[in-house]
Amino acid sequence: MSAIVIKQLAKRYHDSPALGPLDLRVDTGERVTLVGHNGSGKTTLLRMLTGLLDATAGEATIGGHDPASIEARSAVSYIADRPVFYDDLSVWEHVEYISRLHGTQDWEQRGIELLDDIGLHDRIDDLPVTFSRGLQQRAAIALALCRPFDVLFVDEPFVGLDRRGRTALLDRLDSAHADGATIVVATHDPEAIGRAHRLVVLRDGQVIHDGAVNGLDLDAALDRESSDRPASDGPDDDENGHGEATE
Amino acid sequence: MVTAVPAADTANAVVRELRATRLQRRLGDTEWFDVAYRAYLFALGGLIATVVVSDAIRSQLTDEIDAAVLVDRGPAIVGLLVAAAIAAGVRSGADGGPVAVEAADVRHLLLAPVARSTVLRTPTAQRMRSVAFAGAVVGGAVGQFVAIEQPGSRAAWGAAGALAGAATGAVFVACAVLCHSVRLRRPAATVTAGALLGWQVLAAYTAWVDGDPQVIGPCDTIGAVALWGVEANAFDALGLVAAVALVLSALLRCGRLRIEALVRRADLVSQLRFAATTQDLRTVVLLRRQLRAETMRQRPWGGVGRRRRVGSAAHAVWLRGLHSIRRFPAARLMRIAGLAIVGGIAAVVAYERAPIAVLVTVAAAFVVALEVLEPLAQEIDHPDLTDRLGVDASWLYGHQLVAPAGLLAAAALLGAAAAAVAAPSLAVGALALALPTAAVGAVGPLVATVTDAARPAAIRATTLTAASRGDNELLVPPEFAGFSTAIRTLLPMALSAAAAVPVLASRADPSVATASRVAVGAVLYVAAAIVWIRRRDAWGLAIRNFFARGRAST
Repeated sequence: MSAIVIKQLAKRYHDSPALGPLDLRVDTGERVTLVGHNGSGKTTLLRMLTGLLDATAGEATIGGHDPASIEARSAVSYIADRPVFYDDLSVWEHVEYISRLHGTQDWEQRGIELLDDIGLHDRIDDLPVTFSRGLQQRAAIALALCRPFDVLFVDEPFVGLDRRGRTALLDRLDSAHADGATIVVATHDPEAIGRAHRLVVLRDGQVIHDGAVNGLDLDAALDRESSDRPASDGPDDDENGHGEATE
Repeated sequence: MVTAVPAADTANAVVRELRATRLQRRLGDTEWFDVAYRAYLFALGGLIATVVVSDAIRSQLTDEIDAAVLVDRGPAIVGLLVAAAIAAGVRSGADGGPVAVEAADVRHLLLAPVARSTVLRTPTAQRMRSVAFAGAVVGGAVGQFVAIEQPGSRAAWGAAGALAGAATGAVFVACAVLCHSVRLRRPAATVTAGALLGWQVLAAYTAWVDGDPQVIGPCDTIGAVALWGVEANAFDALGLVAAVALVLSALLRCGRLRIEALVRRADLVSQLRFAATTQDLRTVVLLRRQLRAETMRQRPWGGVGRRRRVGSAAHAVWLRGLHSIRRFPAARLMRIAGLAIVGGIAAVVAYERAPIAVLVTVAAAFVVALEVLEPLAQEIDHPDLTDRLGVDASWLYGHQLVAPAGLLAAAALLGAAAAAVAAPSLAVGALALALPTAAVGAVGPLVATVTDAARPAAIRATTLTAASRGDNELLVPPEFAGFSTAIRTLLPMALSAAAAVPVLASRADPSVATASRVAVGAVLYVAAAIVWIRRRDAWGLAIRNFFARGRAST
């Protein structure tokens, strides 16, 4: 049973190709790591799978549903590369709100355990917008994990995290995977790559490797065959996530 | 999939509860004294504007227009404003507007299993409400002014104007939402908006020239509602019915707005509001372009040149400006051309019939200059790059005006051509006045742009009294801080307002001598601005040195 099916999916920003066309299939319960240089299309791919970006061509489905559908949204959780919070809600109010939106039954118990694990138990009444980058990342992780999900997309999750935060996150990903969730992580972190079953390497929006992690010389794979197309930093790194040049 | 979709009622209730909680919190945090002070300033500004506009309109209506003329020609001409609003809405919708939500709402609400119409209906309705309210205020105020000179009660004119204004504002947002929700592409939106506007222009033109409209415009009925103060016709209510239908359709379809566009606008709109609050004109221009997803062309007009060029440093700066202009997107060039044409036609209207129309010419010249000064603005936006060039910044800024001047001249000639088509007998005059008008109109944006440039540390860090600028600003009372902000905002507009002089002077005395005096005056005016750019840092240092010597001697 495939959790994610991608067929000829492509994204262009004006004249610049950002992704694909690419085909990919991820089975239910698989743990996949996406790797690639800046501008290779990792973030664009994850944003298209969460429904934040429209496809220029092709299609993707989550559990057989369009990523923008209500079924896909209830199944998918997303830890984005940039945490976003309401200015006027505390960590706990965020947890309550998101948990209840997703119909979580035992959200209070689950929320307390999660915040304790992530190391935010003593900051639950503070506003996350006032946190440091690392603490914001922890809060974002808590918000993504406090609700039920079948598929978890994670984009550069280790930015700003200290050792304890990294370990807590990796343990949580292990736990979610053990519960049957499908996990796709875009990262450069060797430890996270090592825990994946499958490695997908992107370059210039194309899959250049799709297979087992073991035995792959990642640096060599990334640097092999210089691209004809100039690398575009826009789609992955742009502040607004739309890959368009800012003036 | 094992995760169940939560019940719609439950999710909707959570969204409502959250919004109510946040609203209560915001109200609790509001500084009511600050709100009252803003309301006071707004009312004061509104009063002054009312008096000024009232005087201007009074003189127009007394001389030219009576009630019969208003009833015959008014619907098509007021309908032109409605058509322009709809056209702007169609384009805005194709660009991803006009609704903006918080970034957190995009991330947490629009990705949650909640019907998107539930999430987006409130911001859509709020946007409609605020724009319709603004339209009602403007329409009502104009209705009041018209009532001074025309038969009919002030209340009736005010209500009719407010109704037409509100309908115009609401259909602007409704059309934008509908075009956004059906994924109308930009070229199609431009054609649709152009066709609608062209049709209404034709109707307004025949109404204006013949007095008896030969063509019924698509927006005549809403335009006629604005004239209900003197004559009400039940048929005109059809326009209002259509407006209501558009609004309801937009509210029903708002759940289909593109998330990608909402993501892009989420951050930009909050930055834009902040920039507008701080009167940062350049940032507003940049953010508006980003909101429209308007980026420089990857491939410049005329292709990429790889020739090795030789020449002076000045030549290199001119070429850099030319490279920038060659990468202007088609939409920006079209905008410049459109504004030039509108400015030229408005000048003809001001010359022949209504002097107040010269304000449109001035506004067009101002916006065109903001667009064409891009190479200079880019230089000022990146002071770190400019500093590394090893040349005097003021010299660089002066030479960065060459390429924009070329584009500005082309726009001015286009405006003159439009004026000549509208009134062939004025062709020579239009040609003579176009360049001075455009050049003088560009002085305001030029000053606003250069004012943002980094100053030498000695000027930047201290005031004339040698006090630290940071410390000094802390001691400035709010009244004076507000005054300096107002000066900073109004000065560019005041400087560009001189662009009205060529048209008004020629209207008063249409002669070669007047045109010559206007041309000489424009040259001196622009030259003064350029000298200011070249010498302002030197003058700033000289003034500080003068005060320093004075302090040393006492």
